Amino acid sequence: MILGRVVGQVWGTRKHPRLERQKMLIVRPLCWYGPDHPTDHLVAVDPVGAQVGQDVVVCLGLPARLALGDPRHPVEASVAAIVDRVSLSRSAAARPFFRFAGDRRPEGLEETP
Amino acid sequence: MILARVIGPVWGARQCPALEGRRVLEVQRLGLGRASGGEEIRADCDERHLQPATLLAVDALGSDAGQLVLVAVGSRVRDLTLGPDVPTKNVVVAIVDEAFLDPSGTGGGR
Repeated sequence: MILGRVVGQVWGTRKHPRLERQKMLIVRPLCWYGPDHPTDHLVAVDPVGAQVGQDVVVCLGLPARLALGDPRHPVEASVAAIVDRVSLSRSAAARPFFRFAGDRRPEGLEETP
Repeated sequence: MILARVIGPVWGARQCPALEGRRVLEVQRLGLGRASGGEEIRADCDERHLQPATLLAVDALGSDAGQLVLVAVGSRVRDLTLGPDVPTKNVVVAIVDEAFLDPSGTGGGR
């Protein structure tokens, strides 16, 4: 799972039948684990009802399909939760596997020592 | 999934049997870094919205050059849409009519 901010929405009429009536959001990742991803945005299916500007937790891969209730959805990113507050310990942020996307530190991040 | 713009189809004189009759597209990934927010991103979007690198995706929906599409990346999505024998990881799963970017969501002061 990654933390991201909803920056937009996508509409399309011609799509895979299993994507019908699904809300699709453009999410800008706030942080990545492991190797940095080559893209600065993700399109995630949203069963939760997130709004533009909110921070969300995005599931990737099989968990994304399970979060939608059916592993047969042709989807590899979905919104699992809407974030109210993020608190990050300073030592965790310093670990090498944790990095902010594009080395940009998100605003409104609470830090605990 | 990622947003990308279709550059055009790619044909091969000799291709592996599983690709016969399939439409392979060259697509250019959208980079939102330079979008200022409050923008509608349309298929004819400015070059500055696009990343320099392209990738190839197999398309079962029949999208045309210039359209914005949603490309899913991964072997599992490929299995579910095209079948496990097609040698690709990038699949076009939707043709985008409209996309909107909001200024309040741009994050990180960009």
